[in-house]
Amino acid sequence: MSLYMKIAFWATVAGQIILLLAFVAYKENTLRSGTSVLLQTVPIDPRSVLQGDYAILDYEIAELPDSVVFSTGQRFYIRLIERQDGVWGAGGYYTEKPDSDDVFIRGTVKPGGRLEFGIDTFFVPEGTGQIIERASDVKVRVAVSSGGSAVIEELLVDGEPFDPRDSKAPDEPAKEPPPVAPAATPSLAPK
Amino acid sequence: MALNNSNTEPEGGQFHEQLPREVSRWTNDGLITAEQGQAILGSYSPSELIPGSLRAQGRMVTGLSIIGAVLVGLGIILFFAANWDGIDRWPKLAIILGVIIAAHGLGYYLRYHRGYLRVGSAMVLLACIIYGAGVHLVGQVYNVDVNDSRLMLFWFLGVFPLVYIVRSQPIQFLGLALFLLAVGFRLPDWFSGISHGEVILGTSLFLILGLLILAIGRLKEEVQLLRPYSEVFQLVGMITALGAVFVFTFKDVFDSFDRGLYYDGEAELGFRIMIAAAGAITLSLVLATAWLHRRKESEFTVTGVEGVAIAILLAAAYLVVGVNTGGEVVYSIVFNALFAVTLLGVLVSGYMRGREAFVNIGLVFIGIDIIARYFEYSWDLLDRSFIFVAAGVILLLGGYLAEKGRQKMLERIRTTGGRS
Repeated sequence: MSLYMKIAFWATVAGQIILLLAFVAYKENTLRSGTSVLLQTVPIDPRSVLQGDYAILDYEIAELPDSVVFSTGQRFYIRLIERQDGVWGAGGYYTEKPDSDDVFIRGTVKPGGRLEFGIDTFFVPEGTGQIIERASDVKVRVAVSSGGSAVIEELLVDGEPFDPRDSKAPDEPAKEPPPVAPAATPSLAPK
Repeated sequence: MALNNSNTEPEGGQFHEQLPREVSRWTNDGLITAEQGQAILGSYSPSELIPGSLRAQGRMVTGLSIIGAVLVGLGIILFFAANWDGIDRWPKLAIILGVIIAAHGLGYYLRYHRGYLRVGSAMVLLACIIYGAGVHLVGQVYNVDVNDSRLMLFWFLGVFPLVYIVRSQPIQFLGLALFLLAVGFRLPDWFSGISHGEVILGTSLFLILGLLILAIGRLKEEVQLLRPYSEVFQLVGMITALGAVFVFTFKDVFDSFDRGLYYDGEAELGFRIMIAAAGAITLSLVLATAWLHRRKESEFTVTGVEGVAIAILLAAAYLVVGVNTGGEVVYSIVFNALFAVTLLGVLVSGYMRGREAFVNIGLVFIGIDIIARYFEYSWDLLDRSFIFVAAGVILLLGGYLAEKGRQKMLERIRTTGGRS
């Protein structure tokens, strides 16, 4: 193997490590510098072949108001406003990020008309998905960067941080879901 | 009875194995000088002069090493998939980075310092699989969406340079597979603004990419330096292109044409760039291959026909993206005919160029096509039990005929070395 090829080999290995670390750094930066908000969600429970068990999270703010005209793939910025119960709701839907100090989360319209935010998956240890599936109330604490990208900080199951060791008996009946606190009426921003 | 390699050793193989002994005898007998003997042996590649039994051992070592690497890699992926509860994310990341570097280091040491080419390459392959597991682990740690296209893209970007740095066919295969997977995971984003017809657009893209990879492989075969990187490219490209044409043979694929041209809205820029650039490069490569080949042989060869076939399939891919015939029938007839002619071409090309793999791929696709057409056209017409019995008979008969034809063809390839 020539010297150039040796250098190229180890440069590629270094590239792999740098790529992984850059990915980690991007996520860590959002976690450390982003604004922490609490979002209401409803989980569904499938499985990933490569990554194990996970829950798909469908957020309350993912539903666009009827009056908003949108197309699949369109990007929206949602202004987040904290409600009295501590949960953050939608205060407006914008196609461009307004120049404001408010907290905005960036979402993309997926087929079916709901928004996805890149935080729609929560991985759990194998066999513990039932804890989330059977919970009556699931909220997610999310770090939102100034650019609108978000990273999940923690999942709150019935008001408590998700603990995979807290597995309930499988035949225990599921609780009735509590009434969802009304979301702030979103103001419709001009597009 | 299957072709028995031990009884039907190719004549070329026997010649190559006997040559060093014969040259030595000629030199001792004074028929030729030692320099002439060296010149004769030097005109053959060292791998050709290795005895068949040693080559078979080498293949076995390669097979065992690759299976071992893939099994260990799968085990590691499944281990991470269980979410590795109880370990904080930083130790997790440190472990995965350490394992990647260690696997690469061991592969490098075995391959380049100890000369264990096959086991060393298998270790580098394992390192690449572990790197992919690492990318998905980071995704898992930060709860990145399962279908996030960046995960496959990062895996591909990290592995692809090694395709050209490490001369290993399994790594070439992994690199190309990751490229196609990265594109596949990106498709939903590119088509998010389209209401219907994603299958047609996606299949067209894979047809063009398959032809691009095939054309790259063909060009490499014409360039001495790049020849070691040729075969895997040709096989992967051929399988991808044939798979895409096969999808187009189903008339239901073109259902969306009933609702007009298949997209309301536009495919995103990435798709349009990819489909235009891949087609233009493919055509350029076909022309370059023909030019390079013409310098070697001015007579009519199978290379020219292959180039024309690639150009026709390329045109078909663009036709289906750009023209709505108003119904599903025309396109399905055209693509069924194209598929049949292409498969015939693959068999003939495999025979004339002495490529067993081409023949095998052609026969597998013929078998799949027969089964698909049988179920597509008879499912609604015949009794279910009759369908299965008849399908079984067709398969057995088809298997017998295919095996018989394959044996004859391979025997001819081995006897003539692909020269008709």
